[in-house]
Amino acid sequence: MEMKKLSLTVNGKLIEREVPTNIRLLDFLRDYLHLTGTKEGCGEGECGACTVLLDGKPVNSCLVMAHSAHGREVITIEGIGTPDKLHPIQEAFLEAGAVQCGYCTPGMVLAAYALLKENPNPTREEIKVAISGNLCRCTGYNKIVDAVELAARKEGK
Amino acid sequence: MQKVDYFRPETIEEALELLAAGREEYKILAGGTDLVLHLRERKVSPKALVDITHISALKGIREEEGKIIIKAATTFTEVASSTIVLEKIPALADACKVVGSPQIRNQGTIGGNIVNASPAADSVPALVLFDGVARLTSKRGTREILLTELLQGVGKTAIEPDELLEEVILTPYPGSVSGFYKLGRRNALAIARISGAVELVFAGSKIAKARVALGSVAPNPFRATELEQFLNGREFNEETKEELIALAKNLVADKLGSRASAPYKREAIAGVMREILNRIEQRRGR
Amino acid sequence: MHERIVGQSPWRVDGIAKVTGKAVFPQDIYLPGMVYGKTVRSKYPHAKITKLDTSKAEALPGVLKVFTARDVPGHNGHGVLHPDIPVFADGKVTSINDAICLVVAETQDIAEEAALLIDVEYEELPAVFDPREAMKETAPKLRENGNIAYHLKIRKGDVEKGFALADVIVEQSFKTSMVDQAFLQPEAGVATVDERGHIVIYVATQYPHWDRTEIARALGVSQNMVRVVTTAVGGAFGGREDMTVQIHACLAAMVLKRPVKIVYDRSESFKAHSKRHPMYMDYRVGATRDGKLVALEATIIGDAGAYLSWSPNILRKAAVHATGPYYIPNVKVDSYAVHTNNPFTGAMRGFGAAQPPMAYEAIMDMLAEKLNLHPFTIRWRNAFERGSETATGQILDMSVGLKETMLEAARRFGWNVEELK
Ligand SMILES: Cc1cc2nc3c(=O)[nH]c(=O)nc-3n(C[C@H](O)[C@H](O)[C@H](O)COP(=O)(O)OP(=O)(O)OC[C@H]3O[C@@H](n4cnc5c(N)ncnc54)[C@H](O)[C@@H]3O)c2cc1C
Ligand code: FES
Ligand code: FES
Repeated sequence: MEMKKLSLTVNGKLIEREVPTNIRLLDFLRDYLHLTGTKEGCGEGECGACTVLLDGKPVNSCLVMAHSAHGREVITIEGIGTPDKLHPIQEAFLEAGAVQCGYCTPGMVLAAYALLKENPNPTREEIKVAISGNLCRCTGYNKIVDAVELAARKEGK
Repeated sequence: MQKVDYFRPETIEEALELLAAGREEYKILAGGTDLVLHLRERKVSPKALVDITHISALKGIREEEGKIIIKAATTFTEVASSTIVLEKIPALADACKVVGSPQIRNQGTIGGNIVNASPAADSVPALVLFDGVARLTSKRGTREILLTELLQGVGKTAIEPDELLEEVILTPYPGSVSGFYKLGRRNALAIARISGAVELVFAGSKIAKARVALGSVAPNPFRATELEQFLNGREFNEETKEELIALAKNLVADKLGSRASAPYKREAIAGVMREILNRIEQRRGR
Repeated sequence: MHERIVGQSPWRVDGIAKVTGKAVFPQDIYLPGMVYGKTVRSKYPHAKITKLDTSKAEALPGVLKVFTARDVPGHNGHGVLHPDIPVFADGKVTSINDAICLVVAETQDIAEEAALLIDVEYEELPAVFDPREAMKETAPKLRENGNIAYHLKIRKGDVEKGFALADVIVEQSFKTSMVDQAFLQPEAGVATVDERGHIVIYVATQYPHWDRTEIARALGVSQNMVRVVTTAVGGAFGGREDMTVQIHACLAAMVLKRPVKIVYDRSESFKAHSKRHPMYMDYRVGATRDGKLVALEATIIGDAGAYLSWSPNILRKAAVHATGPYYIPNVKVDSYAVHTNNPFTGAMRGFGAAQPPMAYEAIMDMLAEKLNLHPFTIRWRNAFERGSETATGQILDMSVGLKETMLEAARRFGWNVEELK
């Protein structure tokens, strides 16, 4: 199998690995780095469960070849907050009851994170657009939108 | 995933070298939002991917002597937020804003949208509207070809395997106002059921010049010259709008013939046209 | 001191793990020496398998074994009510989701590659996709004793007498479609053999105790040899009541003595699990001039697909709910679950109670229109209340909140409730 060196920053850490040329960024994160917070829901760009930030912008890691991320900066859910030190968005998701099965949650949190970075005071409509690439089958979305609003208020403080 | 090798050129020359060496067996990879799926589904089995997203010369938007030039690896997000695009060719911004989802827009490129040659490619009606010309480059040289000639049916183009789509060159009418609208089954992540783009130049209350393009009606987006001719010289009023809509309905019905979607799309085009004209009306005031 | 619980909004217990990406779903498990399974499924809804040659796949470097029906030591079947879903198809397929074999290889890529090398030949058999067609004598038979898997009759009063009292009668047919639960986390599981020789599977399931019984039965081992560990479950909505990866992964782990991981992609997920029953619902309902329901006759035919799953329970529930929350003195309901060559249907949110409302509520509106009554009025005059008797003879002797809810809703609409009663 063709292997090539891949070097990129993941959650602030420089990583260099010899990896196959045919893997997706999603596979690299999960199978090679065991950063399993990035989920695969559809493998075709429809669900957003695999969302990561690539140079600060949300993308579907199931559609990005791993080697395309060479020299770039990736942030996954593991880089947002930890159980001991939750990010305000993560707290807001818990407070607003925006988490049910949790499979969409990492992608949702990252989409919200990217939005609030660019636009700290989004309207409900803007929040809906920002999470329009993320499917949730459990919550019905309202509580997720509530959570992002709440996070914006928390971060604004 | 099937086996496939990978190259990451940083200049156009390197990319052309690889494409020439790879003969027909290398494939250009841009955002991957179409290609990665095709690889997974084994619709294509190239020996190697030539990733063009690390070539900085393939990114960006510039204006030159009234022409707007968009580099192929520019993403939808970049196009939709470009001041040049928003001011001069807002129809294209409208189109890029409604592609897929934020994630898809951050990753997908204009070049990929063109070369993938889907009937529903959202940016293409807006590119065709402004007489879009593709600049194709290979080790053999460079050629320019109208997008309407480049696109040769569903998933088919006139691009040779060693050619790279470098940029698209758009020629809006000076002082024009434009708009695009897409009707999908839902607000996000929806393939266009039908879409349209209109560019108008006003002379007082009259339409001096017009261009109209439609998407998801034929194998590739196309210019609706009948509608353009009708609009030229008319007053921009309700009557003209209604007549235009009636003509558009006939055109769509003609194009689709007995296809199952015809009765639906024939009606849907009315709403699409109204929305585009509303957008133009709003922009005209500005 | 008692801690105050009611009225609090505590964070869910697994919430912190879920917002930080630490919650473990089966696809997140990586064990040393783990190998990967890929299922090959039927290409036809109804066919004889005339050839199954796994040799090319097994010859591919990195392939450990291809499991087929021959390799199932115990009962080659599973199912929540009746074990009729084959672990692997044995000479015949009855639906497009039938598993033919499982390829196990060192990597996912090799397993997928090898799956393409499995050589299966089929002889197509006539298939039936509509339960009404399947009820006919001439239809292809999926079971020796016919395609009707279940028939429930509900009889109350005398419908003919009831209809004789009616001033208006509405007759209407309805049809609902097949629906997928589409939970976000596709099926996955990791099976391994622990130091005691017990088979352990980590899987997102709705039914761990029953999974254990069925895994043991298929593997031909006693139940104490099997341990089912439920991981985080990425949505289920009924779709994880029937098993998918469980037996395959356990069988492979037991034989190969290596941890085995199976992860479905979205399209396989759609094929592998149950669906909501599409139902034909033929209704005839009579009411008097003042809007009182006097008789209801309904035939409900649910498409069970190829396997039984929960079909009897679901068609029972549909029948029990056929009158809606309305008192009707004369009722005749016939409810059927019928096998076809469609993907099998089973549990999904509502479990049979979700389909009939479309029919009976539409009928209520149609009756209201004919009688020139407000839609509220006709519902109010028939609504269940405490003490009402349902079509199955149940006396609702506990709280029945329907009328209160209706009043409140009507008030919020700004309707003049007193006039509408
Ligand atoms: C979930 C989802 C939703 C989508 N929604 C929409 C939508 O709403 N509207 C829409 O129009 N599209 C949509 N798409 C399709 C896709 O995102 C677009 O077509 C996108 O523009 C493809 O660009 P890319 O950069 O990702 O191309 P790639 O996938 O990298 O490439 C596509 C094709 O173009 C070729 N190619 C790319 N760049 C060049 C170049 N410069 N020169 C020569 N050949 C080139 C590649 O070889 C390949 O054959 C969607 C896709 C997904 C997965
Ligand atoms: S897994 Fe990538 S979008 Fe669904
Ligand atoms: S919480 Fe289950 S998919 Fe969103």
